[in-house]
Amino acid sequence: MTIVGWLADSAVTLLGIGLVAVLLMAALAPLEALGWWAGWWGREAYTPVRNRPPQTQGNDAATERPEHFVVYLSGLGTASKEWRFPEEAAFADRLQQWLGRAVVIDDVFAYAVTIRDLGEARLSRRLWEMVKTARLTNPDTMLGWLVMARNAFRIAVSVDHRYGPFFNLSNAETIREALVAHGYELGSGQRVTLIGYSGGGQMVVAATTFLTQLLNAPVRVISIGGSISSDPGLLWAEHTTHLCGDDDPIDKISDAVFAGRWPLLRKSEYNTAIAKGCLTFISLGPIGHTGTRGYYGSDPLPDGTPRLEYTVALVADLITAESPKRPAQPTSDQLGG
Amino acid sequence: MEELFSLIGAALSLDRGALAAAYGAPYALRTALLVAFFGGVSLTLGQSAVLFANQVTPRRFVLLLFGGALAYVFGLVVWGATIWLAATYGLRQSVSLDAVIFAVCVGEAPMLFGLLVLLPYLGTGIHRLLDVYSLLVVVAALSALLGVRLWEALLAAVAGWALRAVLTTLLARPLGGVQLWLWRAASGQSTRIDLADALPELAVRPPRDRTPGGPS
Repeated sequence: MTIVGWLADSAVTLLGIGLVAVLLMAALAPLEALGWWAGWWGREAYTPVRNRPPQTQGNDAATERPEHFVVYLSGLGTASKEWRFPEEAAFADRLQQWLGRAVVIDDVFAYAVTIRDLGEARLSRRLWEMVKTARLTNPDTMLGWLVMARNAFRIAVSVDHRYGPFFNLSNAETIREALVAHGYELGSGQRVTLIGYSGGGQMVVAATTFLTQLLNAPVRVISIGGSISSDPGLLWAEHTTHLCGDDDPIDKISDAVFAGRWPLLRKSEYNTAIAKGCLTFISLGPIGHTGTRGYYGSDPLPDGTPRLEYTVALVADLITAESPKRPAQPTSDQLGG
Repeated sequence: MEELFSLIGAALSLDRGALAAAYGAPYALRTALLVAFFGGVSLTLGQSAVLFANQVTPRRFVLLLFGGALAYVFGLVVWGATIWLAATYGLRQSVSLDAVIFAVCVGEAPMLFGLLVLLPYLGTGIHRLLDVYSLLVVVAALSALLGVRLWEALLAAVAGWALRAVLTTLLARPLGGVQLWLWRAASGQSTRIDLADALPELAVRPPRDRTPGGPS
């Protein structure tokens, strides 16, 4: 029997095994956060991987307090805080340059509680190491889908009202640790901005409920093509701005998948946040979700502005704006800078 | 074991003939109670978030898992008794208590998939589907064993459920006390938080191991 013949004969069995494996992967997803809360296992402390010192104007960098603290959470394709998609790395670097005296933290891995990244998961260490290695050589490898599926289940955990509070609290604690490690003074009341791209959008919104309480400081949220559910964090945030490209399908998918976003449910957190003006939307024009035409893409917009620069300028403006509800659109001068 | 699987198959396929035949088999009631117990274990696992939320230890988790399943079976027996009361005195049907309890326990066969309630985001919807599926099996089994039409079986099941709800309300205070006592004994926790209360609780109640590397 040929391999093709064997595969055809075993297709149903293989599909069954695959389905059971996916269901098992999904069913086990909440246990990590729940077990941490119950004290069955500990949470890994945050340790910085990258350190971007704020650009200071004077010589005494140590005494100059950063003007802005920004935490960036990656989309669901990420498998490690050590490794980043090149375009996301470019975004964080550019944002840091643009903001100057600011701390931009982009090494928080939001898709796990008990591990720092997938390569540390004891049971599946070899599998995730293989995926990570494959990713390093080819960012578009098919194995990346495995990471996305695994992380998508964590987003489902974050959204689920039964598990979300525990998972989101653990993320808030990690973010607090990251902020402190990068010089944030607890009790200072200084505003923090959380940026979430794609699946990271849900993670930052959901962590906001707890981060606001842990820091006792305002938290501003920026979602870049984020997949956001109807989460209480939308009402805890000082303000949430959702940036979305016209060619990005994620928003429409989120509208369909998350019941709390349906107009019928007027009292959901999502619809309440819109009604109160706590959640506003900015259309970015002809920008897609990923690739060269995505938010961090290298292709220029019709007016010649590189997509990455446009996104960075807009986000920087939202961070520095006095009133988050009326962000100024970046000027052509700024885009040139 | 063979009887167990054939009973589960008959229940899941809503096959009234097979359910009637299964009731005639030796140890039928015991097998049905076993189905209900395993269904209870699976469903308790599916709903185990509440046990984690209450920060029970692994040993007590296992205790509560099996204790919860036993309590679940006890609840089913009470439901069976109320259906029997409703059918005997309300609907003037001459029915056997064994047959009703068998039907109610067999109705828990879909709950063998109760573990799927654990699935994030989809779990709550799956639980509702399993509840409906379970009710359909109970109605099919009652119809087959009592020799009544489907709507009459449904009426008996609903009447029994309503009677149980009334009894539970009337006995809420003493039952609540017993439940809390059992919870405290099994979990080792003085209070019980529900998942709906978990969100405000989290802000003031630290996890057992808030700081990495050791309990706080």
